[in-house]
Amino acid sequence: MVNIKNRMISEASVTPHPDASRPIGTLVSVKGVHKSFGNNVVISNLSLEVRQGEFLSLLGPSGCGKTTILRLIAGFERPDAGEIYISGQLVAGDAAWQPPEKRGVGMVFQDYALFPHLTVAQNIAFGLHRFKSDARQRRVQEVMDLVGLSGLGNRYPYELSGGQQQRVALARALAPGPQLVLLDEPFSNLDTDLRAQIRPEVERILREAKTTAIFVTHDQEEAMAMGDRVGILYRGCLEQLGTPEEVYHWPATRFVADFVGQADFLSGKVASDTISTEIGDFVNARNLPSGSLVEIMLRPDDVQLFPDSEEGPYIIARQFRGSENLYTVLLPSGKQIHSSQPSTEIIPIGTRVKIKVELNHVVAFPTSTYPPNPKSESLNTK
Amino acid sequence: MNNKLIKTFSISLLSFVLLLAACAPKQAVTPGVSAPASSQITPGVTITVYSGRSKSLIGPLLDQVGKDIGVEVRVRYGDTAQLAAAILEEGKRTPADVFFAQDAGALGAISKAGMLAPLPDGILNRVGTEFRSLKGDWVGVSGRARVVVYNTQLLKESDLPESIRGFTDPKWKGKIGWPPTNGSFQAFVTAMRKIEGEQKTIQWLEGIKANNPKVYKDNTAVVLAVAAGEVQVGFVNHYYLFNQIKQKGESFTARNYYPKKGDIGAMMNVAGAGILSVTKNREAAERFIDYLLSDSAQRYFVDETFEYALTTGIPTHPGVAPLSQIDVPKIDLGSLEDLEGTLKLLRDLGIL
Amino acid sequence: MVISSSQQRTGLKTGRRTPISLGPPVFLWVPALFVAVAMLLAPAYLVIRTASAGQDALSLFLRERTALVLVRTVALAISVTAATTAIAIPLAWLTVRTDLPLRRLWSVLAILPLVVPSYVGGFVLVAAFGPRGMLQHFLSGPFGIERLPEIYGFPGALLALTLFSYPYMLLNVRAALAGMDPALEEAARSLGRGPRSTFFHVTLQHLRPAAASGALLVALYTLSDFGAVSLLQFDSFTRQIYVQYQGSFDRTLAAVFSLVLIALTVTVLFAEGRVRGKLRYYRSGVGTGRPPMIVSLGRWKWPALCFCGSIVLFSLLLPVAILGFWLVQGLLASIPLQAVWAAALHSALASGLAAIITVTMALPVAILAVRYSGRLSSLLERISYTGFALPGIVIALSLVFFGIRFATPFYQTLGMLVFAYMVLFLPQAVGSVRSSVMQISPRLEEAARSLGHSPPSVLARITLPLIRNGLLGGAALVFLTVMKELPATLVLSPIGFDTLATEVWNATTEGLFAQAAVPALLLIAVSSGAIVLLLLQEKRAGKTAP
Repeated sequence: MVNIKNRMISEASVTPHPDASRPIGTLVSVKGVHKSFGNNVVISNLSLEVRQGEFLSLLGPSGCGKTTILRLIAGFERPDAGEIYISGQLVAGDAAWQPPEKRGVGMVFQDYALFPHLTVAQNIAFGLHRFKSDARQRRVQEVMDLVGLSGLGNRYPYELSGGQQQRVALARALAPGPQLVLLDEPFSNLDTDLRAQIRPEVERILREAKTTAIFVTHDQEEAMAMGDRVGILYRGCLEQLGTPEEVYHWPATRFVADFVGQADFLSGKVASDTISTEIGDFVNARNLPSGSLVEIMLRPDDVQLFPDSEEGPYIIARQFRGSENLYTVLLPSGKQIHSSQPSTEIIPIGTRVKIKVELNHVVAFPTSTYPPNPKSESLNTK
Repeated sequence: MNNKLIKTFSISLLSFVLLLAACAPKQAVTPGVSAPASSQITPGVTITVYSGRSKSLIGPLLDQVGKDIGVEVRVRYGDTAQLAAAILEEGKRTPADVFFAQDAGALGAISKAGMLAPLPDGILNRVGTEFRSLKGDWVGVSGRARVVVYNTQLLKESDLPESIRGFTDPKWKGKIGWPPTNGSFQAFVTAMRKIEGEQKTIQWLEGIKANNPKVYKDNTAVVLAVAAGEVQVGFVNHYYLFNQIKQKGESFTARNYYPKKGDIGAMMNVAGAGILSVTKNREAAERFIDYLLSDSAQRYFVDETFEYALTTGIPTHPGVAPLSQIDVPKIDLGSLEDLEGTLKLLRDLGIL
Repeated sequence: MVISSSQQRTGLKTGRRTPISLGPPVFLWVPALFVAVAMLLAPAYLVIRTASAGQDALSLFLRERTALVLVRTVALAISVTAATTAIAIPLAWLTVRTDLPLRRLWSVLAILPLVVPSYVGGFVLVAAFGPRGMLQHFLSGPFGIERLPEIYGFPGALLALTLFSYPYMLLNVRAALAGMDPALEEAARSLGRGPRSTFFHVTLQHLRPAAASGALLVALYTLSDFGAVSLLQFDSFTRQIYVQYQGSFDRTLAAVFSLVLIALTVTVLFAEGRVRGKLRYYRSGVGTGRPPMIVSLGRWKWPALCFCGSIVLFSLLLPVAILGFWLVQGLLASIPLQAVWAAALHSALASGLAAIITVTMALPVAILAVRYSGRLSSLLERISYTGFALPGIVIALSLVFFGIRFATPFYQTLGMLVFAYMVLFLPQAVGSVRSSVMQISPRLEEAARSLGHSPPSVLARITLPLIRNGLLGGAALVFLTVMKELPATLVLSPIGFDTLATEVWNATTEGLFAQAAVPALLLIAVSSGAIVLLLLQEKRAGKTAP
């Protein structure tokens, strides 16, 4: 059940998404791909498989190489080493190369890349140049209805709102009926409300079209909500690939733990079966070596607070978050951890509390020289 | 919609223009020399003339030549030096049959490259030996005298020195204009070197240079500058003045001054023609040059371009000083070695 | 947490290049190679000629005077570049970004001086401002002014070249300014920068590539010009080359000098490359289609109008007026004036063909330079400039040399002449097309490919429609320049194929100014027609471009 980075995941370990019903078969296979630009190594020995009909989210901070993977699959870049297969056919590798126009891979760009000199209908029809005229018109209409743009066929891109442009981009990519659609940060240009509205629609459209989709984002909430599986990328390496639940609850590396959701890391020391920390002992579930220094991942929702008059940790900050309050607690060692409590009750700042951590499973990592993720210090999650 | 309109308009305009161009006659008809009875055009015979003499001056004559000798004459007008360079570059494959040059130096250059064909004696003997190449491969066609053009509002003829050497006097500072890149000027300096010797020539050149002469690109520019008063005197060929008077009237504020006869400043130079040895139309080319030396052509040079006829029996234009006043130096006008020596001298003195 | 994507959306994409790491397609690099070979003909010719240079040639070349002339020429080139920039940038800004009255009219008029050939412009300036020119006559009466500041030499050459070549700069800068994303300036304003600061730190910076390529054209034009400098008695390097041809028919020496010009060109190109930098300037988003911010001039309107007016006056109205004056003088003196309709048609035909062919060949060079940038395509683009800096006579002779040996049936045909024009003026088209291509995001082309279109199809359906303005601009520029071209035409044109330029030259060499006025005015009229048509097209196309 636990994922170790850079190994391919066996199919059996993954729970299928409850909603869709799709055949199990590999559509895209990336094997050992390297890519650098000049001296900059962008992708390093990356392998993954995408199944037919699945939604794969690729998540990671800027510069981690996720867009580059899309471009490699689409055919806009050539890998320096490794191979890429689509539908079992080798499209990129030492001996072979299939240009982008032959791959049947649709792409929705971050900035939509709508052709400014063509109308909406012409944009959508652009990939249908092999169709006969009436078939083309029908398909364009079909797709426009699908994305909810009927009646806007004669407008030009600059006349449309962001959300509408987004839909045109999607419609255009879908019109030729590609086997795979790649989406590069498709929603990052939209405001929150629009995003909340559009995302499920896009998902619905793609699922209805039974298209396999890979989409790239740095917004983890989005990645987790939309993807059947999520791949976490960091500095050109695939840190973990699994269902959202797996990634959230069983992060394979410290980076994943830190990046996905909110986490605090509490230092502890291993003594055979237990790990001792300043707030208590935990089970050494990962069998880390005795005597080593480790860090235990704590999610705010794992941390319970009980007001206590004795000395010890106390609350130093509270952030209202709608349904819950996020409390920052200062431990005697000087370490700060967070706790998430229902907002029906307010615990005043300064209150001394007792900490109780309930962990169904313990996630611990050897203390490493991992560069601190700026996220770990912030109160915000995206 | 407007876009389409512009497009249609442009395309139809373009097609119209192309159509016109395809049908347009080659050259505009110009008033020119009245034609004597013309002979039949020999079918298929064409000669190509590279002419360093300008179309405005001799165009009418060359149009006429073809009719009179029964040959189609196609002329490429250009700058003498650039045409000479082109001929040299073209080498054996040059399409030119005849080279009609503004000055003898250019002809000398082509001759030195061995590209000119010897002319028949019948043609060569029509002019004096001083007006043709020593090798016999080019012949002078019209003569031009060196003069000093002066501004009539600022100077009287009596103000001017008898000899061209007089202009080295400091009182002429800032008042002289000259065209050192011009072939005739360079030929003049060459003559001076040959006849008066290097030293005297250097003295003269340095003397003039000390007077800060203004540098103009050609004879026409000098004449115009003198008339305008930018400078007071200039060293040019005689006939440019008359062309200006013809255009602008007698009130043109410049006139020619001839240094006294025997002075190197009053020497004669020639424009000439030669036949390229690779020509396939030798006979027609010879007829062409022969025509240039015929009475009617020589009269044209006298009456229309105000030059000197080189064949005997044609009187000089009344407005132009008679030949008796002009000396012709006994030098090979086309000698390129001498020309190169002159150029070196001019460069060393910083004039070129 | 700053979202870097929004920054990318509206601004300069700096830093890491993301070129398509796929090789350039055949239909691009084959014509580009052809262009490269065409461009190398002249340098090859020069090397061949120089190889036979003797000791004298070298010693002549190494004179002190040569160095002086070189320095003087470089000084002129730098000054002209500076002066044209100083004129073009304000003009561009005034006509694109402010509420200057009659903006469109000024736009058109400011570009028109390009139609005036330098050999006509030189005459006009001397006639107007010479020591005995019209101005002096005008002033000597009431004011008793006998001497004007000297027009001959450096000042005159600077004036003439600036007045008649600033439109090269203006065209480039104006296009860049018009295509700029307003969000850039708005962002600066929102960050607390006033209008002036925004202009200097944002707008001007954005104009750098356009200004650099405009400066390139101007500098090279100055280096290669002969007409203006000879009339204004400025002893420039090009003049030395002509002197070699004229004086000694020594093509060897002239070749040596020409090679120096090429070296100068390389230096200028290098400098331009540095100024231009490696930045990419396309607008990544489809944009909001907002028009740019218009600055209100207020009481600055009048000085601005004066500025525009005086530039147009000296560079356009003055030549036209003086030519008209000569024409009228000639008519009054009943001088027979020839109709030059045939020459006009020839000019239009040759220029039209040259424009079409040159732009077509410029397209692969420009696309390679922008989309497939790398050493080789940069080199190719650079090579295409060699023809521009060399005087026309050098190109002409090099084509004579190769043409008559290797392409005899084409020698002295219209085809070869058009080829010569292409070699001479390709950079003008390349600059214009390149600026346009740079404004298009590569994502558009990638999107098209992801939709199943092959590279040629992408070129035809996406790239070309979007760079239409650049193509038109390049074509118009080439058209204009070919109309004025003289030395190559004289040597390479088919016999009897007179152009308006050769007619003007015919007349002016004999000082027949009235005769010269007719073809000169016609030349200006036809060229102006072409420009106006171009500018109209630009306006209409404004809607569909990003």
